[in-house]
Amino acid sequence: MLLEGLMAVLQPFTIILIAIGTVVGIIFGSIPGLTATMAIVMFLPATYSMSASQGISMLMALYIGGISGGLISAILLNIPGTPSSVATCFDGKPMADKGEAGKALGTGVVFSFFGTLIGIAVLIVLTPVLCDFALKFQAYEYCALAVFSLSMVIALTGRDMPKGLVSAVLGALLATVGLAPIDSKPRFTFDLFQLNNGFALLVLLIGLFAISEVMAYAEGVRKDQSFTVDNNAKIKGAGFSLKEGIAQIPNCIISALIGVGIGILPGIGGGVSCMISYTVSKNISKHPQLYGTGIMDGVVASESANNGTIGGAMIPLLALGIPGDACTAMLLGGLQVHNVAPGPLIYEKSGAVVYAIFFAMVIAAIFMMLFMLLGMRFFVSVLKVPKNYLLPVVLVLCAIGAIGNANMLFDTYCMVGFGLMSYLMIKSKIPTVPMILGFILGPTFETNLRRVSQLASSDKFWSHPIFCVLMIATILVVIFSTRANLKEAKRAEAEEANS
Amino acid sequence: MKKAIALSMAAAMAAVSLAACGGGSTAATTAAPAATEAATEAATEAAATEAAAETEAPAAEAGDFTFDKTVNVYITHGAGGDTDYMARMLSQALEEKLGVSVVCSNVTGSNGATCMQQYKDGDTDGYTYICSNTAALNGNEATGMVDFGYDAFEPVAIYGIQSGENIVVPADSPYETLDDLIEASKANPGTIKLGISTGGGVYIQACVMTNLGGAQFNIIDSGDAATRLTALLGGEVDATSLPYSTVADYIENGQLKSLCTMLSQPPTLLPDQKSASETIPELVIDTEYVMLAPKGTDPAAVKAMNDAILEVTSTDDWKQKCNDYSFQDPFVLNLDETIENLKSQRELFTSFKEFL
Amino acid sequence: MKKNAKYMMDIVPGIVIALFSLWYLSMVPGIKTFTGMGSTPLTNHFVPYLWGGALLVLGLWILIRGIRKRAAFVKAGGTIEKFDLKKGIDEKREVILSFVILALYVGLMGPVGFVPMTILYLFAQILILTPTNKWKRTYVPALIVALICACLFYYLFRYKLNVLLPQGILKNFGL
Repeated sequence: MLLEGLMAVLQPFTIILIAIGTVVGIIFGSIPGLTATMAIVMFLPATYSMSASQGISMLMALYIGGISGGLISAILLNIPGTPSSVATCFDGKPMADKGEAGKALGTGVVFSFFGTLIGIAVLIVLTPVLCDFALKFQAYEYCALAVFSLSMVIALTGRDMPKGLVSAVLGALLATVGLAPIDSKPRFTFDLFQLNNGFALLVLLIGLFAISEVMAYAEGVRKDQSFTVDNNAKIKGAGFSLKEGIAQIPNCIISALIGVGIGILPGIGGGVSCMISYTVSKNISKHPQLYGTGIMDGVVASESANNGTIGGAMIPLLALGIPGDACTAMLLGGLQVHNVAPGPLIYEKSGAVVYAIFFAMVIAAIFMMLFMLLGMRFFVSVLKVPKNYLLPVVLVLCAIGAIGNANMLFDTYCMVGFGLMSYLMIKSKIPTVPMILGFILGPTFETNLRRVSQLASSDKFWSHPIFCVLMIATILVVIFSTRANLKEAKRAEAEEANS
Repeated sequence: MKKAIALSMAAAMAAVSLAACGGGSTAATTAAPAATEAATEAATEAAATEAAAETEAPAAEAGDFTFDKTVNVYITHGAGGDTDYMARMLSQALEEKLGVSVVCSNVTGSNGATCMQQYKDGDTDGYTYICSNTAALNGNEATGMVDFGYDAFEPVAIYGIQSGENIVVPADSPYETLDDLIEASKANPGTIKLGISTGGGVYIQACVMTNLGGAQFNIIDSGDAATRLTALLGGEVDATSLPYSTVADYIENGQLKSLCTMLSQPPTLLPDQKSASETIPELVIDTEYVMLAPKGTDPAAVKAMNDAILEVTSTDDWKQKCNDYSFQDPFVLNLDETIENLKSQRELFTSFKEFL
Repeated sequence: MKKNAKYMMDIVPGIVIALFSLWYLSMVPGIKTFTGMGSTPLTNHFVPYLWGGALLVLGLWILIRGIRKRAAFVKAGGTIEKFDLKKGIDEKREVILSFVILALYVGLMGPVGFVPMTILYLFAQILILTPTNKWKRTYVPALIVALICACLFYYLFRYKLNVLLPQGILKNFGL
């Protein structure tokens, strides 16, 4: 069966499909406004007429390419190409500003590759164990997980804690717009049916990052800013030395495993995994103060994690038939169309296809690294395009992405609204990133909190060890990060007073 | 995003959970069974087009509408789900038949309500169509999510039926039939946990079981099909309702067992399943795939489209596709039967309204 | 001047956030709840109250912090500068213009169509992002970029990838 799977993938036509899928995925991932999800939506119908292994190979390639491609615009433009690369901006952009765009890209690409491989390895080896773990996550556990992840906001914001919290709460508040979870009653929709679905994460992301980037540029038009950064330094190999790479291995493994872990749990996704692993990596690092100034560690943490999430998300998808996010939900559809039913019998019934998926993922990961390393010089040359031309074109693409997200023009209005909100937030020194966490986790928290309220009469929390552990961890995170933040704030005030 | 994820999951999990917000019924009400039979015959026999021609709508003459530009089909549920798959298969077949391109776009959200709201007053030139399922169309109206029903559209055709939802329990549970389950809940009120998704088709099922079957479950919200499956496997709930396609392997594997199907008749290829209507006559959810046109669309175009659908679905190829995908034989209705069918489903649904 | 802006950075957002959260909270009681079978003990009001309340507290926290900073600043003998609205608008005119044309772009895209609006928008936005002394050399390339992007994207996304970009007036020409 293993061989059968390998043979199915090693067909010339399948290899070509994987190559095309990877390239298209990278393009969709790298353009802000277009995402991996959208690439899969658009190509899914085309796979209906292919064979099972061909179709799935192509979809996997799109998925891997799409998640990885997001790092390009995150690093070069400071606009994350997909939700999964939000945290890549934190250190990727400062690196590019220092003239190390090539190094940042190389780091991102190579560690995306390793992240993917670690994810695939876990997928192949540990699937049965992890399935049991995933099934332990019910309402109580999800509720605690959401609270725990939200507590990361405190660690993420640094010294201005109230403003970081404002941002996260505002994100959670925006997510309450639309039909309420569980009972589907409209909330804050002002009788606009377009608001019933709530705001789309993609649209919020465009407003927060793409529009604000354009406005930041617009502010400086008369200040005679240089149009380009000197990035002519020759890129050798992957842009960083072997020694530097080896030093990042522990960081990469930890981050990828965090990514896998979050991937296994349906409904959280790559956007959260990159931010959490960035925060964790920062907190366990020997030089946390350098994070955000443009060091490899930050890029490694974010990119290993979001690619690790791919392998993680495939575990419940294949072994339980449970999709974790919009991407995997469509992969599930793609499999079902070919009469491959993910679930406990998938190895027995369609073993060849499962192995074909594994091989296709590995090949797609290799292609991804190959194409992106080859394309690096070309990507860096994007920085040479004058920004006064580049940014407006990017905004138009964002508008197209916002329309294409649900085929609704209404989303572009929201996009402009979020852009304005983001601009005002930045002017008020309110960080925008915690908002994404609040926006994603708010609904998870609400849904599961309300389910817990229903269960509480018959099912007490002390029979849920994972819940208890997570809640204790949350309390510890809150105490320690608050103390660290207060200390930092005091120090900063003292410095100010002295100067 | 929250809704996007939830809805696309639901859609992908065979579009039944949130998606198949309750289905209409045929068997329980009058008129419908006859129409169903007639349709099945019409579709499977070669005389499909003739039969359709005989019952044509008075306003339109068959064949006086020719498609000469791109036809737009808006699909109410996300890519990867069954509603999407069936609509795209149909579009593909229609493309060959009509000789013009048929372009499908997904406009998703709120169990199809977003798309229907947006296109119910769309272009009426006969080139705009909406593909959805009857459970979403009638269910959204019954649960009050939207204030319009099938009569806000020009129904074109019902062109398929889903493999249905089943009440499932863990394989080691003592219950063998729906009767056992309901009796057990009466014996110990509030101890058997039934996982539902509030407001969806499963919710309607739970309401019918409680109000018409006298069951006394502890009703727990467990979300869409994916999280209901997790809850059942993880032991958070004792029973729930899931699309057959989702649980088929778990049943074969000996982890879960099915007590009954919600369809009025078991799928053609799974004749051994019991119907829930044997226990509670009103407990019927038939999710059928339906094509609609905006209100006021040229009747000639609607007629021509229906004719084309009847023709392209009478092939062996189409039968094979339906068999493979949903364990069902083709199920296609002409114009009058489609309206009749939608009407009877809606009546059944409205009868639930008092306790929804 | 810098010190002046610093406490304003707390007072103004604090007021805005507090007012916003009050407005948000005032709408919560109007939300329809579901009380039928299987409804959850915590209704769909609870979490909005929680977020709204949290935001109100945070807003007030920032506001009070700002007021205290201001008091400390005055005590230290700082002079409070008046905010000059006219100067502020003038300083940010590119940003304001960018938002205006962006709003016009998405607002008129439905009726007018993707292609014409994109051409106009791109042309205008490129000019706004270019220092005025370089405008002369920008007109032609900006127009070319606008034309190419608008047509290319429209063709690619509408006809190859099935994104429903609005046709607008192009509909009359069957494009």
